[in-house]
Amino acid sequence: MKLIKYIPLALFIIMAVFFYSKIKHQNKLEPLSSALIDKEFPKLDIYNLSKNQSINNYIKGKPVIINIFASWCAPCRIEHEVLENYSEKYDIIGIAYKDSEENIEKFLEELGDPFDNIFFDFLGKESINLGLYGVPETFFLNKNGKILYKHVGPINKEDFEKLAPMILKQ
Amino acid sequence: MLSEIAHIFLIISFLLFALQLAISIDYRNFNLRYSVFDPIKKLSFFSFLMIITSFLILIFNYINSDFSILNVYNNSHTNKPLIYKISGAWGNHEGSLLMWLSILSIYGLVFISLINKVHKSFSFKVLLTLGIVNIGFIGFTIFTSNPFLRAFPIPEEGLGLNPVLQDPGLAFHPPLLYLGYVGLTIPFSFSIAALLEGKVTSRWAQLVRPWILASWIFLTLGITLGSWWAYYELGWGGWWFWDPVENVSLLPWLLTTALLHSVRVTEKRDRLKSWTLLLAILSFSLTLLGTFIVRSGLLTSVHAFASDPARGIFILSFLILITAGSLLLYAIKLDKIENKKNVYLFSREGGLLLNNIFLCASASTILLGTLWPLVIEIVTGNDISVGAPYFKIVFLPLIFPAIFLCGISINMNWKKTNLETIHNRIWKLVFISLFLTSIFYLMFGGPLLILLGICSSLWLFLTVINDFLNKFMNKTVASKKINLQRIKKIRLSTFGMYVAHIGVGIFVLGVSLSEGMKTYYEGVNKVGNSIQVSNFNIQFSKIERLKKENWLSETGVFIVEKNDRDFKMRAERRVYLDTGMPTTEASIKRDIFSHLYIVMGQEQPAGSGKRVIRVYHNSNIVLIWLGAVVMALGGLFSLVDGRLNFFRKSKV
Repeated sequence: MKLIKYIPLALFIIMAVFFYSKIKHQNKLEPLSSALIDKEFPKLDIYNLSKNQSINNYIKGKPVIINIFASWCAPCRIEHEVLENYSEKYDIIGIAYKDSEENIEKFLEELGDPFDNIFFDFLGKESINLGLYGVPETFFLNKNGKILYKHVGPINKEDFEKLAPMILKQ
Repeated sequence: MLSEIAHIFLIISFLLFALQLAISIDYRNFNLRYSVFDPIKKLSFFSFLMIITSFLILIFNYINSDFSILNVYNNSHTNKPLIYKISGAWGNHEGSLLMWLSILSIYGLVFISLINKVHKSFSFKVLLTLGIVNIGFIGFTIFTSNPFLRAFPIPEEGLGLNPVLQDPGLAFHPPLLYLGYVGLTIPFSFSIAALLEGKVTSRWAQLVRPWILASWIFLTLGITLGSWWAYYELGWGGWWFWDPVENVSLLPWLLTTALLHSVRVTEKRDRLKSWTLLLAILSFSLTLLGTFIVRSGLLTSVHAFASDPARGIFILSFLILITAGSLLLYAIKLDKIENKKNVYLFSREGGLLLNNIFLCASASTILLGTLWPLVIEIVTGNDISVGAPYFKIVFLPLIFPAIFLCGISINMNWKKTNLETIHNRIWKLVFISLFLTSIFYLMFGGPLLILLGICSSLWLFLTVINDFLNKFMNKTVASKKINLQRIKKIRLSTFGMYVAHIGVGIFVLGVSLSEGMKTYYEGVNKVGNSIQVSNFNIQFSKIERLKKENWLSETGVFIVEKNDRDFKMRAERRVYLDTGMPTTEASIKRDIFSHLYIVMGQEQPAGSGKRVIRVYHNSNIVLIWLGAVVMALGGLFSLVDGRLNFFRKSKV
């Protein structure tokens, strides 16, 4: 009968262990998937400013990472450092979403420019074809122009390291 | 600049609480160092003030729409009305935690101002427990959910508050609920202090009861307001959905209700001491558990906050530390506390004990139902939902016997009541309530469950009135006159008890009548159609489109005809410009206690003019919230009574 007073404690500990395993399990949840995964990058009517080149022409035949960003987007600033760190290793392309040339210039002057090329979607209409939930989003494409993965929201170092190498695979 | 000060204040108060803990332990003898009582009192005082100041600064930032603060940017917008700018400060995870902290600080300040009422060594332990809880919550705020992070460059415009939250009902729902939740910290600290002291006296119970009462009143009002908001804003036509978050708010309420009854026994009769302590610990732990479940995103619900595993781990560790620590302390010290005394079943305290058993049983079934989907998901990998049917099946069989016994124990005396006396007092009431219920049945009919509900609420009313009358009757059988002099002798807290139980009766009556008599219609309609619901003839007359403060509105105008009288009802759909999110504003026609409730859906497909129209006729539904408010009012009477007593004594 002496042990009876430990019952609340015991029950609680069982529950706590259960919760702990549950939270661990939760981390492994699959991220948001996109209908575009495993499809070819759609044809978009957006261009870079200097050479007036279309994005589809530019990415043809090379593995690229496409990051949709904006100077007014706070989370984009958080992930900017990650992109900056890998700009040497990978071909990173920016799509400026609903933004002006001036603001983008200021943004990159301040935080550094990880992009090999920047295309402008001034009205935000073309990005609809990419199924944009919001900025930032990052697309991973192999050299055949196939979308291997889409990351929603600011990307961190771990995810980037995990996802980026697959664009180089055959 | 201001927000940096607020941020630093939070960090300083965190360090101060840690310092208090560090200096208050005498490491050589492994004992508490009572000599530092005064410095600790002052340190706590300043830390509490700093926390409150930093919350005020956050509110100030919201009023000024300072979008350089990430939290303000994410949750506010310049064209929101002032009241929603302010309520935006707690309409999000980070801000609501800061509000939690400042409410805890307000309670702490009240405790410090009354500290002389309590023995020094006892209040020292209470302050330390409060300090530990504070460290946990401030740490949670600073390390995982800082509301003062900066956004750079400063955005021109904020993202806006979730439009569903832009509502007066919801502006006040969280503060009230938090006042209740957080208030439970004090009874918890009192229990820990009592366990450390190794004794529980009726004086202790007397001191802790006002705190329990205050939390209980706020919890009751907070839950009621939430239910009322969900009813008219979410447009689901019901008042309780057994949503996980609703359930975790109900759990502390049930246990606090049990605690309120058992602490009364401890106060009056010096019994059920260990039980009272256990309930105090558990009800506080359940508020932590609720916070954990809601903030970690473990269960999906309408109350979902942005979830983050780091937060889940932090609050889980804190929950384990606090709960396992106090339950261990409880198990170790238990033998010292309870000096086994009998409780007679046929006495007020016997009745209260049974009440406790029923309340705890219903709390455990709800806890089980709420967590069950998690268990199943682990076993089978499927997402399932334990819905309203489970809760109705397990909850109802517990409620009816509980109410029956409640009516009896209201009529019993403390210590011991003769079985024959009880029988004499109440056998008539059984017949009266059965008689009235059968009259109801003959007039309106209805399923058994509804009749049971009506019968039990009548039973509660009658037993309360009976006990009240007994109090003024002359005890001698010869002169059964009503003696009005006696009414002065009935204490305000006794009235409070009567009022609260009548509130329960009104609540049960409201649930039974509204469940038994509601009618529901759902169908696709175009402008010009008419719908027949119970005895209303509803014509969908036209759609009006308008631009309001910060939303676009589409209003369906309905002409409702009943008994040759007609009136207009307007059901609205809003699209908020800042976030683009739609909400529905149900149109509700009030008629004393009943509601006619119309919800208009979106035009689908666009241009077709076809909309889903839902109509509910909820009769007597207002009684549900009225009952809850009356319960809280009863609690308030009891609370005031204690205070009045205190002032009277201090005059002498």
